[in-house]
Amino acid sequence: MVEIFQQILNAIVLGCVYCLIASGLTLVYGIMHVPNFAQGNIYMGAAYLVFLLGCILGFNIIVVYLATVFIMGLFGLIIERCCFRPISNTPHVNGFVIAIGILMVIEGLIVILFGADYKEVLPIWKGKVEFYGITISIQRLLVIFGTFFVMVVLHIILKKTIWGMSLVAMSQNRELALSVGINVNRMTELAFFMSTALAGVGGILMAPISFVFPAMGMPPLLISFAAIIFGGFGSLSGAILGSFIMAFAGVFSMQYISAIVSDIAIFGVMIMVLLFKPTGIMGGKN
Amino acid sequence: MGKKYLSRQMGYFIGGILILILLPKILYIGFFLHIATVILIMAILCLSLNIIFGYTGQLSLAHGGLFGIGGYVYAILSTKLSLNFWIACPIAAIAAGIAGVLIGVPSLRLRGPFFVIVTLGFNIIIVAIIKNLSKLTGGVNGLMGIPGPSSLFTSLINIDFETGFMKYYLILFFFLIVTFIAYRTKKCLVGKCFAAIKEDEDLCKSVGINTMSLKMQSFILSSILAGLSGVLYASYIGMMIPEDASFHIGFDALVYLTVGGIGTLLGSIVGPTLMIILSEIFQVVAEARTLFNGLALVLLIIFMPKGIIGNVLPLLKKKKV
Repeated sequence: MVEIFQQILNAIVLGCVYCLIASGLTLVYGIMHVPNFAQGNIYMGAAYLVFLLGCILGFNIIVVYLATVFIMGLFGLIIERCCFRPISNTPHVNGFVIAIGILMVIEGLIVILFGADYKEVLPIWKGKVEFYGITISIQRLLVIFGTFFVMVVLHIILKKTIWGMSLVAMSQNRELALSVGINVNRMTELAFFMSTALAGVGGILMAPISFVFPAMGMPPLLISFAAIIFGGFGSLSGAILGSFIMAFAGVFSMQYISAIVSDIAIFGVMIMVLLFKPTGIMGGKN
Repeated sequence: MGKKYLSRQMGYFIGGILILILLPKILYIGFFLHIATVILIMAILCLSLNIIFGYTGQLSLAHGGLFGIGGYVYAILSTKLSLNFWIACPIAAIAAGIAGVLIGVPSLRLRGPFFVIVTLGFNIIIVAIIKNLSKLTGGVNGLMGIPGPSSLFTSLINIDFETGFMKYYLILFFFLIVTFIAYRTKKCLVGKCFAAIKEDEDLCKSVGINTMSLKMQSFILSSILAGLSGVLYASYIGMMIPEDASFHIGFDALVYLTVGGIGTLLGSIVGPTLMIILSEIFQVVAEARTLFNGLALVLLIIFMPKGIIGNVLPLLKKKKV
């Protein structure tokens, strides 16, 4: 029984990370209709930035976290301005290709700067909490509460502020949003800023738990895609639900069946959803 | 006018083949010959990606995996069952084709970003399977000592495939066949349907073209050719590791194709040639190759989305006039 609860906790922690990546992906997809393949590597880059600022340069941890989120957001702005905007009027497939290019650039930069080996980021608080025989490290609790906090803030931004409502309006109908005077370019920048900052938060929270290495971004990226497809592209609540379901499916099949089945199970679910309900569980009409 | 153009094109074509045939005589140093062989293998992969992405407009990211399947099936057949190259090679290519069917049936129903994501997912699954079937594939360590084609000794021909020259000619032979297939595919009716699907799939459906079946044909042909390039790679290098099936191979092919010009036959030959020669000239170390290729991809998509064949050649022609 304790083991199952332990696995549930692990799944929740993983689900939180997928959730952060997936919500960023779905924001950008809603605005640009481009799957940002670089999102996983932005998550990886944020983890490396924490390693660089915190472990090598030794800044205060609060400064490191805030700086990482801000730098990652700025990076999103830069890729929007320099890469995605110039090609916004060209065929759609160029967007996919350029996202793959950005993915390769980030991975190449990280490998040159830090090498391909595993790095370790020490957690800030090393303690553990025991609760009816279930142990959870404080860092993992931080992931859960941090994600919850970020999601609440994101929800408030999207639902209550004029910027967020403009974003939602743009994802529903770009031309109509333009016609009522929404600054489409500014909003796209905002979406990219938020999306990469969210991936940055994911990287920050995960860096002390898992090892930091150049290929760490790819599995969460694909699972987040699976989660978004499961939940319906462009729907934030669907992305959150999908992330947790994927995390649970992954953790439990890995624990009780085998690692390879876990990989196949996640994409199997994704392909099944795409075949039988292409708009996803929470998605409305296409 | 048309006839004159055709003959000029034929001239270029024959000239190109002659250069390729005489290349080993010019490149005395073995290392240059090695580069030329690797370029030809990558060009076959690019031609295969060009059929599904360039002609039919479906960006497949599973080509690294299909390349790996071809290579691994050949490696297993030739090392564990000690089959002859000429028997194992078609089997391995067809195995990649069957994998293409398995990938294509669910994923080709999807469009745009979904197809791209699902094929990338399939590539991850392929690598996971290869790593886990360690009895057959050697797991993470891979398979070593894969034999090339055995020498042909008959009364008429006496070909020893052990030398670098003959390996080059063997791969050149397959390269020319694949180029011919790709050329014919573009010219024939099916190829025109592929181009129509690339332009507007809904319109194709509305005039009664079975788009699913055509996309399937395109993907299967492309998979078989990708598997063939994997076979040639495995037999040339002599070893396969799981990284040879990773999506990075497919990404590299995508970069080369974009450099050359998406959808053009010549582009998928020029692209790998230029990129591999450039990375050798600048002595790009293996770690920096991802950065180099990624930068090339980003810059090209922004400034020259049609690649060298599409954007640079017309400029040169204009200057002449």
